[in-house]
Amino acid sequence: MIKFLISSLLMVTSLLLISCGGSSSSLSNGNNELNIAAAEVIDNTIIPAANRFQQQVENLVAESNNFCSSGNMTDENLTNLQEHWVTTNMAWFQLLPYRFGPLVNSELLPTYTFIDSYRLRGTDYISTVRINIDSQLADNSEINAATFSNLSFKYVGLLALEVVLFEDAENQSDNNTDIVNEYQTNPRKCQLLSGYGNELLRRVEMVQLGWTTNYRGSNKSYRELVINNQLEANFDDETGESAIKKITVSVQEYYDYLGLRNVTLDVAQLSGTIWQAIAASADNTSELLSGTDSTELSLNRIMNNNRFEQSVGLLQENIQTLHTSLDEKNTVDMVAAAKSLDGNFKRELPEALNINLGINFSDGD
Amino acid sequence: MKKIISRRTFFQSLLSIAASVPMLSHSAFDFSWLGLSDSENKDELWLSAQGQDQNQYGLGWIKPAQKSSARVSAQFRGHGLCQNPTQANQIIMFARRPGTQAIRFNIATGKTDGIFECADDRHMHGHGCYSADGRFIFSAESQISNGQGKITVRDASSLELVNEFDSHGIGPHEIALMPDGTTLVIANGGLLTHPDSGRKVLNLDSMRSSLSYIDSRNGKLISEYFVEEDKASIRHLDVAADGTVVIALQVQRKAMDHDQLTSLAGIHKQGQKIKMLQAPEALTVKLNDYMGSVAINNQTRTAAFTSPKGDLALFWQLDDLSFQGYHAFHDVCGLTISQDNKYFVLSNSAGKIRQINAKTLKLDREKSLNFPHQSWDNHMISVVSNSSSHHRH
Repeated sequence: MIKFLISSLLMVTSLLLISCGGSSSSLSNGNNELNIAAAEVIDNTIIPAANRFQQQVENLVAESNNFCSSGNMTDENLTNLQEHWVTTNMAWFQLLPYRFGPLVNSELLPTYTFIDSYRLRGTDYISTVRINIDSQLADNSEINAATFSNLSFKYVGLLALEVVLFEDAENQSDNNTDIVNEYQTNPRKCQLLSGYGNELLRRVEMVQLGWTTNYRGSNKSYRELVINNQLEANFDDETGESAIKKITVSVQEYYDYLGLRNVTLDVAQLSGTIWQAIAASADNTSELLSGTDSTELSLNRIMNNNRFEQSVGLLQENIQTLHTSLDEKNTVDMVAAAKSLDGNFKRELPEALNINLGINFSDGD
Repeated sequence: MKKIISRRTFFQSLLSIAASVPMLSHSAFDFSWLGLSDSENKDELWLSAQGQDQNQYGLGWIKPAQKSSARVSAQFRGHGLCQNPTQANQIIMFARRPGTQAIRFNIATGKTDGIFECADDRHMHGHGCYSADGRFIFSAESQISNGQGKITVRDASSLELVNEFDSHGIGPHEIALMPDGTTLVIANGGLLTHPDSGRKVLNLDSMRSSLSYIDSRNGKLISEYFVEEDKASIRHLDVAADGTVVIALQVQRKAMDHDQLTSLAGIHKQGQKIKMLQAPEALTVKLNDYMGSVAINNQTRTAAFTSPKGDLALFWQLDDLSFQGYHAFHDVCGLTISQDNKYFVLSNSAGKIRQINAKTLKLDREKSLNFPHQSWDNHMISVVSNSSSHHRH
């Protein structure tokens, strides 16, 4: 009874807060506290992650243009540009766990694969990228936007940018002087850098606009559509589950991915920054659960109210274990921690939030 | 002591009655002769195991013409269902692996009128079918003590066990009668489980799945076929009017020594090897190595497959094997064909029903239904209560 009263009070409080203003005011009547919490996750964590990623890619493109300007091709400027790539990749790893809606757009040609080809199924396409870069550098045909927009996901995205920024094509040297020298001697390399950057920006803008303004030409934001359960009404091919389910399953799949694939051995290897990238994801998961300063009703709070304090503690503990493994750059421990979190998002979290992910989905035959 | 009919009597009865069943003058799964193709049948029912927990488990049904649903409870979680081809009111719902019970449901009364249990040392795999004459029920089971797959035969009237055959494999899952009315096709999943260890697979290293054809009159193996990937388990199937068999697979990824993408849909035409059906890479990845159900539309020669772990239904053309399209639907698994053959009917555990136009493969929104008090489980069948017409799954 007490639990019910607390939950009811929380819900009423939350609804009052929302009705007083704020970005969640478009919530329709009848949404329960999980939908309110999901809306807050979207507003305070996911959309800011999409915004940050877009901003970082914009900066990367601007810095690339600056680097390629006359007289700016120096070791120092290349280092600065490489740091921008690292920051961009970290921003990506904050958004990557939310692999649904605008990050997918099309089941046949999912947008996220054009950003991060490895995420599709853990295939390292670095050789494919290198061959394509070699071919483009050796060719003399015009390089323009169409050159990149028509490319398969295997050739573009953050990986292609990492390759053109962290090694020279000639000898795969990671010496910045060699890399700068290649930019200076072959103008096509700057055209490639610019092309890859702008193509990534085009995709990322689609993601950001999808979350905030216009999802798949509907003139409605994905945020609005998913929170108000309007996806099925607007699209024939949307799966139709609630926002909280989409978030839960997507984050669970992310940790499954970390546990299943050789992420620490294959991703961000030229820059040597995979550990900090995954740490950005772990930080984001903490934020997902505990909320931000703007959050009124966090997932942790709901789980605590539902008397699942142990689950809250377990999740925090496993995130901390993941952080420790990343600090120590220990792949075995990282995989173990990721698998634990995968299990937490499959079992403990849905149970503590009282959400059913689907009997067929979770227990098929 | 259960009454056992002699094998000879059983064999003779099948021989004599199979020849006289009118349905056999048509293909076993072609119901256009019933004249149902041009309009909705008011007696059409879609049946499925349903329920989220022990308190809810049962058999649920939908009357699409009335947009209504109802259910009867069962003491177990059901899985597959089948309809008696000669006594259309009789429906069997089998327990999900490793259950041991099945119920006979009467769609005329809306009540359960029979129940049967596995023999000692046996458990079910959730699927079965009737003989062409409707006198016998075949059930996919396993011998617990040695893990051997079995096809048990029960008298459809008394529900008593009358015979038993080897399935010629381990873990027989879905079975179906071929259009000749006597051959049974069996999806031997190859996965060894034991009730003591629940649903845990005990033979990942040695598993071998097969598609077996046996003579339903005596259990003799006619032929068997294998897929190239050892760790792919053939678990569900459907049979087209011309005898083409489509199969849905599940891959035991953790037992594989490679990480290559594996097709989860296959087709077997008599006298040929099994061919795998290819889909775009991103879709195949999304299936998460799991297909849950399959059904054939004989009019459009299209096979539909569902994957609840991928939230997808996928469609292939049976003749040129081309990929036709997909439909995204959360937790989709139940799959059948409407009686007028115009729609693929999809269900999910949230109680939702969607209908996909069988020609255009587009969602018909106006035909979507929602029964939030029902949780549709893995399989669904479409039947007509006043005839012997049924679509499996």
